[in-house]
Amino acid sequence: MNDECKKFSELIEPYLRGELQSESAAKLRGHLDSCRACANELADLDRYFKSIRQLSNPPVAIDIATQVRKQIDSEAKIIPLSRRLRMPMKFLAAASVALIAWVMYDSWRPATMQSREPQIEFAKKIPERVAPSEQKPPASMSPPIQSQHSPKPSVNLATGSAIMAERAGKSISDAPDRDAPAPGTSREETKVRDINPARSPTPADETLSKSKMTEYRSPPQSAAREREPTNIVAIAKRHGAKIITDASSSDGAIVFDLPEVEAKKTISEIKKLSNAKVTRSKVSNGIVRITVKAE
Amino acid sequence: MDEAPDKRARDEELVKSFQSGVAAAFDSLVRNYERRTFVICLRYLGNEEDAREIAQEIFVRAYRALGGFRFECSFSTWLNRITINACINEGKSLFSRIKKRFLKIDSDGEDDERPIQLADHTPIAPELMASLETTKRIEAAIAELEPNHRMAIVLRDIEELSYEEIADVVGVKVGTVKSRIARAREELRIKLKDLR
Repeated sequence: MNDECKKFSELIEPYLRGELQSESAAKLRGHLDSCRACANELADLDRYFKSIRQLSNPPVAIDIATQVRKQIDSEAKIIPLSRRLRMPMKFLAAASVALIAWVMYDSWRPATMQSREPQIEFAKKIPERVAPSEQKPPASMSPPIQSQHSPKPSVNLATGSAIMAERAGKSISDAPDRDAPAPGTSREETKVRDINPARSPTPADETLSKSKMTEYRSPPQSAAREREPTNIVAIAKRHGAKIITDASSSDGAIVFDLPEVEAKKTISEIKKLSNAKVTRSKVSNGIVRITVKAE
Repeated sequence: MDEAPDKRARDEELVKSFQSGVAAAFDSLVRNYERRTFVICLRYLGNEEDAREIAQEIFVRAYRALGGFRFECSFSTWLNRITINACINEGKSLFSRIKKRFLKIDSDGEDDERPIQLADHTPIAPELMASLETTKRIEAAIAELEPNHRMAIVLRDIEELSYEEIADVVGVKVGTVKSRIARAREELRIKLKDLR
């Protein structure tokens, strides 16, 4: 086969399929008139196509659609066991994770308190600077302690007051609720407790300390709750939903659109998983919007 | 042959209707594609019963997944991908079933599971007989091809998909598709040369 034949040989298949432009087809026909080898190749391929195309129309009735519809309808009535088990299994998995998180948190807590020793040392320096002005100025005139002592807020684990005040965007003196004395304790006593590291902690201190520690870390219950949005989104996606907002939105609500036919099942699955409030509204013909919001 | 734009638009409209809750739109899609899907299954698997079962399963799978269809490709290409994957998987399990069956025959000396074949005495016209014989020969020759070559021949020469579309649905380069088809045709030409 010479180069010219090779070139025309590539045109034979598109020619037989009617895909060749008229100019190229005319050139090929001209070549075929003078080249017996290419003419034979065309005849072979033509015969092959004619034979093999018989296979595209099998002599049997092809009614797949009816069977498919029957199967879909029957599946809609019977929820398979695997699907029925899916939700309880997910709930059990979430509960197990929450339990493990709680156990780990419980065993890890004392170690963490030890690891914060250097920060306590830093807090011990506070009395030296605060002592000269032990006479408390009026609240309105009192400058924030953090600005007096350090550009960084001190982390006083005895009370956690600096952190709490900083989180609230206030100075210590502006955070009376957090630092309010325990019943039966004067305001002065509280201040002394704050600034006197030499004094051994009282049971009341420990209670206060523990309660504030709890505020800094997510408790295991909330860790489990944080997992809910992911599962809700997964449920929604499984039912073909389009997610509009996930749990990262400002109000923490999950919003998604999905076909109306899937809505009932989806809501029921979400309700099995969570106590969140689920509302439903119609978006367009056949599409509903579901909003899931934690109560 | 590339997919006609109006066909693609019609399919997209049906998919959107289905996604908005019109269940009948899916039935229309099945009707439009049942022949092609069944033929691909039949010619790849070589057995009508298996082909029917797998084609049905393919559409049920498509039904479950169509809600999440994002129109990144045509519905036809998407369905072809499901079809090819299902055929390849079924082909593998079919091969192992056949192997087991032969092992059973070897060990038992007979195959109890084989259905009893009743003779059909309906007279058949000689031309039709010849045509049926030819079809059977071609079917048998295709069944003997290596699976990748067989799928390429089914998609190109029976279902007339373009080389580009085959490359897309099978997940290989166009050059690979062309080479598979050339080899398969040559093999078929040798096997079927006495049919001329």
